[in-house]
Amino acid sequence: MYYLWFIISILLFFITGNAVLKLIDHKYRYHNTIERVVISYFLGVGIVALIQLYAMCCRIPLTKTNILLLLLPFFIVQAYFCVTKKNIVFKSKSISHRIGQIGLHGKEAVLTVYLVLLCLIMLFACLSFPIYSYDARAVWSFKAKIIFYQHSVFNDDFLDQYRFHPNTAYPLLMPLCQSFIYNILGSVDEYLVKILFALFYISLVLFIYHTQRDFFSLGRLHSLIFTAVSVSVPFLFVIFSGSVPSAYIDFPFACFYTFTVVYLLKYLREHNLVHIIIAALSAAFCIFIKNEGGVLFLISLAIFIGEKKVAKGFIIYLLLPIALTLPWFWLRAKFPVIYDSNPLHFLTFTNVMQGFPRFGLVMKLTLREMFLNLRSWGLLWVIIFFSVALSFKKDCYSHINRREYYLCVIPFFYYFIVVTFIYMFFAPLKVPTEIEFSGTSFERLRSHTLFLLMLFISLQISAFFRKKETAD
Amino acid sequence: MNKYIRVIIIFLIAAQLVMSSYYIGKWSYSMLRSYLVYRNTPRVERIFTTAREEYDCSLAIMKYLPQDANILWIPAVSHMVNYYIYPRKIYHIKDFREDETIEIDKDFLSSRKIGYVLFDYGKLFSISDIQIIDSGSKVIITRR
Repeated sequence: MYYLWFIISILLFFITGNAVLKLIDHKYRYHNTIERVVISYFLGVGIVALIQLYAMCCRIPLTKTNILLLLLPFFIVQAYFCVTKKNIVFKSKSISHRIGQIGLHGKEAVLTVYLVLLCLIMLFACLSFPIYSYDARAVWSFKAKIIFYQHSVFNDDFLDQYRFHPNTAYPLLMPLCQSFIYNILGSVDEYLVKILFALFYISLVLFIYHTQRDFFSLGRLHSLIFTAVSVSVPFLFVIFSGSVPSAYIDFPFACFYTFTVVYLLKYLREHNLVHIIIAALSAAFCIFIKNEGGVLFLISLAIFIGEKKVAKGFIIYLLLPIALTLPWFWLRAKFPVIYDSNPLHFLTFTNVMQGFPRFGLVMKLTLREMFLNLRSWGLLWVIIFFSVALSFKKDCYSHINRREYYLCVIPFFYYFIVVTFIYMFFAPLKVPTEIEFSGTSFERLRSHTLFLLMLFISLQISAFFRKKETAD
Repeated sequence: MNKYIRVIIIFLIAAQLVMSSYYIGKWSYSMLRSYLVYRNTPRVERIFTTAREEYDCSLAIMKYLPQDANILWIPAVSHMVNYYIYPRKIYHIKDFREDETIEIDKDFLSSRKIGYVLFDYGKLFSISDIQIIDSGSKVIITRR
């Protein structure tokens, strides 16, 4: 019975997400099966968390019964579409028909088996150990535990400064999803709750492949190769803090950000409002999952400058995330700011003056981390820099749209600058060491924009090869 | 020129895939080994963190204190222990004086229903075993 409830809790994410997708896109014209499953999961996770947030703001205790009642409208929508046979996601015939049509051979079959193997390893890594890394327990999962036991955030665990709850005001999307599973199970389960992270990984594998095939119109072999390169970066598996099994929030955040930007690009190309609504919802989840989400949301807004016939899309993309996350900012204002790692707190004149001489050291550590830490990155940074340099080559850059360049490369450089500044000015009490540098924030902060960058590189290298073939 | 770039790209991507597979394979093997060890180890012995003291302290609290016991922790800070022992609550006081005393509001202990005071890892005192000196609106807590 316990495992049955666990399966139900996971299915609830998909059902909620699929119901929302169905409400946004009545005709299901623009999404194929893989895309719908991935969207259902991403939207489901975000919507389930937002609904719980709104319930908390209305002082409704987050008990199992209340949560199920709150999700009831989504079941009804899903049931309606199942009864009227308008639902395609759960039509087994459609999926099996597609699988039969795939017909993989040679290298494609090998790469597919490789990707399936990676997903299985990740699934095992997530489910075989409990939550073990530092921030995952002390920050994120602790919040989930509190919400599960107290059914709310309005208690002294969040509001009493003597409870010394680290980073109290951090966004609650993932803790709410974790506590959702605990509520459905009826107890805290540090093992099963990590399925959320494994499902994010599997969804990202499918999403990266699908985006290359469907949106960028790249070949199957090329898409499989770049999907494999993107999702087999060793640090996603092996690093203690920041890998997918470590249950840090950075990986789900990276997934949501990649998702947001791809749908934003789809909208700008096709001017289909369904895409901008999905992008706006995902942007709201970015804001509600990590503080950096707000900054990346603001950066992405600039993409509308110079675009024509996008007024409606711009208004939706600007207002929907703000409207959806306003209750969060209202709630957050109530939390005491204690032991909060607000970097601006350290931005004083003395710290800035002390920080400048560190530039050389930080650069040295950055470059060493990127190019010599093969255990975390392999040769990925060599590929990335080679590819970015290639994009400046005249006959190659012409294939890349300015939007893709802006949304994929600018956020990457933003992180590059931000991390450098953090280590120079915002950590005044201790000079960064190699261990701190690689073991804490480097990998996980870089991962936020990594998958997007890999999509950009895939597109660019494909353009380069195509150009070469045409010339031949 | 483009021909060389093409060769370099193919080489880099192939090398990246081989390197990633090697590290993931190596990690998977060690993960499987630790899983087999972990599966056959009693929960008390399962240490994931390098902060052994924190973990031991959590286990001691979980083992010996009642479910509803709230704790005042002076002066250590441990988010790990917070996580493990929840829903038992720890209230942290940082302002520890050199004479090993702490001055807090008078109603602090009663309003938070504190039953135990933890002066350091493993040095846990029942509230009835510690010295509380009344000084006006504040009380001073010290070890006997």
